[in-house]
Amino acid sequence: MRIMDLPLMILIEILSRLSIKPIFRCKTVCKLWYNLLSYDTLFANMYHTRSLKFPCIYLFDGVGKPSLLELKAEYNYYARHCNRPIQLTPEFHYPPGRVFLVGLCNGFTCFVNGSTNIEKHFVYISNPLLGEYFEVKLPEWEISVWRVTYGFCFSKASGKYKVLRFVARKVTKVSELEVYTLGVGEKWRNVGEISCPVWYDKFDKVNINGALHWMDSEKNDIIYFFDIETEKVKSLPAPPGLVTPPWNLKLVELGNYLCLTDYYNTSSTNIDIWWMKEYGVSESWTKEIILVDSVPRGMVHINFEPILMWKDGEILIQ
Amino acid sequence: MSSSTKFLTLKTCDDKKFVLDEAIAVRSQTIKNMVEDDCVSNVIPLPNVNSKTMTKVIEYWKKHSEEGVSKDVLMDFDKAFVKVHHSILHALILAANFLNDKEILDMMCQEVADRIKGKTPEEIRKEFDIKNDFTPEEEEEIRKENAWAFE
Repeated sequence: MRIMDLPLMILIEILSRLSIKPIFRCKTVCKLWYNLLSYDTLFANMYHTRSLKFPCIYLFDGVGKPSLLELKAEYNYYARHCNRPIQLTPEFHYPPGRVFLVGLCNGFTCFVNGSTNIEKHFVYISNPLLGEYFEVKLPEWEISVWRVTYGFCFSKASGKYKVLRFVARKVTKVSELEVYTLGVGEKWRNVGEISCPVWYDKFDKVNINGALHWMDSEKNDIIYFFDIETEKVKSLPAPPGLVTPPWNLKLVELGNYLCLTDYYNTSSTNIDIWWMKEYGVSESWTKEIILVDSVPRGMVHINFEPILMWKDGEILIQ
Repeated sequence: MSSSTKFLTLKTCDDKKFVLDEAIAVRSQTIKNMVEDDCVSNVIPLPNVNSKTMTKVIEYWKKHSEEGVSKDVLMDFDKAFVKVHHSILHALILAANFLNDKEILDMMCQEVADRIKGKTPEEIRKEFDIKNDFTPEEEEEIRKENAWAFE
């Protein structure tokens, strides 16, 4: 009885338990494994469900070269040599040149390369697990366009990935939203005007409840969301009584909750994290406070950004 | 033991018979379905499982059905249980798959994954008796693509 005699289903079951580095090593074992690990959709789906057990974080260095760091329960800061981030290879995992992260959903990442207020920029979708990326064909650049902003979202319900393109016009000052669904023909669809302002360079990246969320760029009491299924933009109330300007508020997803961090100057004594305990219910915003004093001295910084909820309710903060 | 205890006879592919308390045997979803559908005659044939493998499965079922066994004891039992040769491990996976016992299947798949994870492709091939069917050029190419995973 050899491992190669096991039914494919079971082989996939086994391989999907590996973390990312061993998976890439396994690709070179034989043709069957290479194909399973590179192209099999069942593997990809199973892997994504599993991978929550060993989350990876994307690291960007100053020049936009991304790498992956696998988080492990036994992570030891002082033994960094054995927890070295995986340097992603240009022209293979991500496009050449300096790239900026638009969003990261369910194992796929969306990058933009170039300045989005001129015609010459590119949008790419990359799957670091499969080691592939492709360019998203952009609509023709119209002369009236002042700038565009991209967002990337995923709906668990339908399994669809969509790229959003927020288009601001010069003279009319009208803003429109365009949508591109991955894998269903290469057409951008204009879903109409939207009145909510979007940040110059990016949407926030919070994908939750089948919608992409972002903070109003001028007011601090309103959060917008794009419903991935209905393609409508709606709004949610932000936590009450915030005094921090919106550009210092940060929307994040923690443990599948919509959260907002409020911390913007080094004289603050605490970092507030607001949790929307019940999605869509404004009364459910609950504040949790992290005392700045409790943060090791050398780590106190102008900016705190929670990244993910680790087991036992620990929060990883950047 | 209550008077209503029922016993089932399981017959493996090498014609060995195992008489087992029904309450234990229904850890297998496959057997459970048979019992519930009332399509159990005297003997349940297990055409895909040999007696050696079935002995291991029953050993597991019995241990995990014992009353008053502490978690630590069970964990030690499980640890020792998976320390078997690959061939037995794979046979157990197939048996657990056929018997539809998620617990054993899960544990065994994890064990195989654990045996794969720290190894180089050469070690994996050797250990699991897998033929390298790439041409040297193809292998070189794929290795280049995935160079970072070998650091």
